[in-house]
Amino acid sequence: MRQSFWASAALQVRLLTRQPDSVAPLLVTPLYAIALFGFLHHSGKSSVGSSVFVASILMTLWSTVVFVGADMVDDDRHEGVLELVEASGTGYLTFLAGRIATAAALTSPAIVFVSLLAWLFGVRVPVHSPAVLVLDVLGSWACCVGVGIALACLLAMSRSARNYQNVLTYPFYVLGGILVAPSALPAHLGAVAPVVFLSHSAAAARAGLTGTGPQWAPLGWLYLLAVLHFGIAVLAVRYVRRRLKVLGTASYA
Amino acid sequence: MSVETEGLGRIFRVARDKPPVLALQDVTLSIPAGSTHGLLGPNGAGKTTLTRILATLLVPTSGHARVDGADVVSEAERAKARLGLVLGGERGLYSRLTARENVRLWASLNGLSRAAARRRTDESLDRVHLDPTSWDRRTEGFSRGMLQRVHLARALVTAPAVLLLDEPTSGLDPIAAYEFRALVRELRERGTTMLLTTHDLAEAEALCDEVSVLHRGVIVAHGTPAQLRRALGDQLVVEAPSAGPAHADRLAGIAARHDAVLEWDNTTARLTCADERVAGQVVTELVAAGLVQLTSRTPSLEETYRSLLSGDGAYR
Repeated sequence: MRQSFWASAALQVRLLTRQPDSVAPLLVTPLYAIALFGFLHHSGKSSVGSSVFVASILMTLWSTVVFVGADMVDDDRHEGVLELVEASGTGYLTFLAGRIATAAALTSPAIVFVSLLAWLFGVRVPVHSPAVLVLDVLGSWACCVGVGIALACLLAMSRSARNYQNVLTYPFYVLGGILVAPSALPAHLGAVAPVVFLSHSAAAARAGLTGTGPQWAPLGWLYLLAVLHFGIAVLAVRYVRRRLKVLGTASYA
Repeated sequence: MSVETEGLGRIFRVARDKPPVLALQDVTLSIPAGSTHGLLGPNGAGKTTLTRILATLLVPTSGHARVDGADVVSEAERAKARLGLVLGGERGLYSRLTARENVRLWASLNGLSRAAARRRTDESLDRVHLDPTSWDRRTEGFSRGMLQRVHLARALVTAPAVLLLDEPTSGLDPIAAYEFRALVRELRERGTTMLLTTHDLAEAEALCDEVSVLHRGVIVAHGTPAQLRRALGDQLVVEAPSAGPAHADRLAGIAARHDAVLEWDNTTARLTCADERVAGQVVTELVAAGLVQLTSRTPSLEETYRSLLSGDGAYR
């Protein structure tokens, strides 16, 4: 299983580096960061600098996982390798986990890039608790892997995974409390935020940077959701595999 | 036995408002270790369904199948470890990876250590005679023949007990198909157990120890290629290469009188006769009709196959 995981991770690195356009989300979201920092610079509201910083990084992480997950399914279907992976000795779960974990980990340069942009725009981003930030990054990465696997399974059942890419990004930036804190959302929308891991990830990051607000409660929720997401991912993979074996196809279309 | 199926059946329920499709029905097969078994049949006969069940990609709706002793449903992981799967066509490889990377990936996905994967990859690519200068080229620029060699190397990298070849020469040009068959023949000589599905009867005749003919999910004939030919009794084919449209009516009359099957291949008339006595009477009438350039022979496997599937497809 370990060999399969690392082989899948190495595969993902090779595929991403050989098709540079597949890492487009890594470039697009920092462009949003430029716009957001630009607004911030002109409005003079430097107090929300940390929130913009966190939002840019989480948007990069989430969009990468969604886009890479969808592209992965489409590409594997196009290349005709989905079935061969199933016929190989490795588990499909390990294969997806290796690839999505790698894709999520490869977003880490975005932290450096967004930090650089913040510095260029004169936005000071304090670091109050590095430990909370490190735990937050790891928890968010784990959640992304779980969600990414489940999404890949969901998208494998659709005719074109790409159609769902946009649907699964921008609404989550709002509902997940990335762009606007859940407390600032209308009550019925704010109630949805706690089930989206991004809201806890953003809350822990803001607390880790500024020292305001609870730090450990959002982290606790984040790790709890990581376990939950991974459980859902396991069930989703089982469902798709069973569907493939019983119906002869994973797709509903 | 390396591959065994017993009463294997598979029904697909496509939609609630449509009747279920019977893809396989009561298929019982035994393939001894070291032999090559051909699975022949037209499109939709159930060949790919049977291959996918053996490859653990589909579960049967009835019956059992074992690969090297492992049940493909209850011991699927053990069965997978004993299998190599080669699918026809261009798909099944990552086009952005090199040939070597593709094969090594599948070795690692099957649990081989890094060192073993590297060693076996080179051995497999060498075994399929892929030009070493292509090993580190991306497969997106490969010809169909080269791709099929990489497919075979990928399947061989785990040293499987059984190789499933699903229409491996489909879409290959004649030279690439010939070269691929030579590779399969080499594997056969080394004692690899293989199940080969194909439309190509000459291919089955050249490569297989035994052949099963599938039609509408049912095995309608089974045996060595020679036995299948004999299954039609003492049939003889009389060919008149110089016959033309001018002889068409006369030939149709001769065929009708002697209950022979008349087929045309351009200007060559082919009359399949029940036995030697009937063939003699047909030859006499053909000579009387002015057709003196005649040959007679036993039916080829292709003619046997067509005959087996003639009419309602029942085995005659």
